[in-house]
Amino acid sequence: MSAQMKLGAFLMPTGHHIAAWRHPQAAADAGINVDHMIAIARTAERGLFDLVFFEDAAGVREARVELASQAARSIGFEPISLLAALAANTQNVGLVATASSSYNEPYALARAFATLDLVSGGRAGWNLVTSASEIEAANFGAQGLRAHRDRYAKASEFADVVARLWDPANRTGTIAHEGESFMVAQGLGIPASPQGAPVVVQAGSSDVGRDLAARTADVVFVATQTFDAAKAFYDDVKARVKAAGRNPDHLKIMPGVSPVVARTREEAQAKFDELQALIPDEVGLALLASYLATDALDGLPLDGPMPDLKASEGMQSRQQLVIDQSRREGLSIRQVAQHFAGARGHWRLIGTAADIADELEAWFTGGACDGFNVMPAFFPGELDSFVDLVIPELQRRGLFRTAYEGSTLRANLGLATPG
Amino acid sequence: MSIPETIVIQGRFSGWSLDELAKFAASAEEAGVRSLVLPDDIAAEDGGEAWPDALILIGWLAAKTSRIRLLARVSTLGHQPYNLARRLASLELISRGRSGWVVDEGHVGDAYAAFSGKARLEGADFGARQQEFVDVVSGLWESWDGDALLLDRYNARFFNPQSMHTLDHRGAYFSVRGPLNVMRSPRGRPDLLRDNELGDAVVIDSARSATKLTEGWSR
Repeated sequence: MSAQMKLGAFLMPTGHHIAAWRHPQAAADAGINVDHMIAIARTAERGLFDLVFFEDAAGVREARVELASQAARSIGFEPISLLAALAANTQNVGLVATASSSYNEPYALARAFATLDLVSGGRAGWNLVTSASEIEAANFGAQGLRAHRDRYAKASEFADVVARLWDPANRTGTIAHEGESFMVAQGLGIPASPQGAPVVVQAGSSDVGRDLAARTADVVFVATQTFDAAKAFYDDVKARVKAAGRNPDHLKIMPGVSPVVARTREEAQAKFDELQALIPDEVGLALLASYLATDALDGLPLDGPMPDLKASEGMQSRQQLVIDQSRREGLSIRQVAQHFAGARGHWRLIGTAADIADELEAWFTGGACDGFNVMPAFFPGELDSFVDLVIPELQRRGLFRTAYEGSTLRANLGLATPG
Repeated sequence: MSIPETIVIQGRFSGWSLDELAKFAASAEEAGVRSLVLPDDIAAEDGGEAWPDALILIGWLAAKTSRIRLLARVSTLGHQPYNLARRLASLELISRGRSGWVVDEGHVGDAYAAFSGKARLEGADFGARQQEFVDVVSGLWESWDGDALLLDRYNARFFNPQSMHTLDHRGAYFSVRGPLNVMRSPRGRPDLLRDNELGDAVVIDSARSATKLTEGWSR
């Protein structure tokens, strides 16, 4: 475990809450407004976050246009392009973008991130996803989804090729890779950044996903909602890292947390209720169904219980999480939909800075994580609140840095520099 | 001395530092140069030096400049049209309407070696593939009408459903449904040029020749 927690700022244009864009203190035009994106990245840097993080999908989030048009998720910046602009407007904060191993060539992806690493002076990171949606598949001439294991086999080879291309020793040489899915002859031919190679992030928490992360990742993002689940995940992945012959401290596990913070509990709860009231029913339901990769909710009464769901080819582990919680708390479909529309399956905290710091401290000192990936409900307002209220509280408790340790992402995360 | 309309950068990346590149872009902008073209040359099949990813360099330079048009000379090989269309459309928003793509027709052999060519491009007609690729990218840039964004918070209507268009392209090399998940820029779309449309561009091959050029302007 690290001495102090690591923090990621999970940025989205309007916010993590599905109705964020409707909030009067959110920037509704964020998906086309580069100044807004620069401003929130600078806020994260002011808060001394280790990194800013962007998720990605190579397609709109919702195929039904009537539903899609009620939410802000259909458009945004392609993240690595945006990070190139953010690199020029920040000095210390890490810049992590998601990109799919299913719809890119490893050489092209390795080169794009290596270039981002250069222009940022060693602050780039890549979050590997294997892409699970039919909407994305339809933009790449693919017919249907590949089976889960098959996607991971390809992802595993992809990650290995990228790692070899990023190895400072291979930069101007050749790698002569000929594998099951990819063939790459030459090295990238561009210099390594001061951090040697971009940081590798993963978020898959299924069994094969954990093995891949244990072998190849520097950071793991995970959706867990209870201390026990987080602790079990942490112990399991760290054991796998050890088994893979790596130093467990060189992989940082950062669960997602979705905070709503204010100066009083009443104020925080009121802020959250205001957001929940802005979720259109059909949008919440569609988000839940797509999250679970299921159509089994269609036509069921919204006030009835969640049905039994078969494991899908989509996100297996998150699906189980949703079902477990609905059973535990006896929730109706509408309640589950609203609940998850708010936090998207991540851990939600509502309260004062001290309340939120208490929870984060308990997980961190209890050995359930190395830090957190913070998912503000709307931007810029809720990131400002976290930076102005929670960060000073964590610093007072000695749980978070008061200055950046270094200028590279690896230095701040406390990772080894390759090469 | 007259100021060139377009400057094309060629040669080796080791002839530059990133600082020199940014300074040159700023000087060119200051002097009134309209367009700067960046190379995107990958390493040769047998290794050696290459240029960094031009689309990343453009995003970075866009944040350091405000008027000069930034073009990347990028090959279609090694990319998927949906991804390239997204990256360019994003750069278009980031640069506030100063981005563009020059279709690079060369480097086929090196791209073949870097991008799993044996598995993906065996028997492909490169010219036909490239034309289809360009058509798909152009089509994806028309995914949204100029008036698509409503941002109507009260009625929960983020965009106008009638202003979003799928592409539904099915061709010999690509099958792409769309729409693009990046909004149209205020001026419409990134510029799209072929090599022969660069006109009387001045070519420079290193920071040294860039300095010579800019010294000439200030005289």
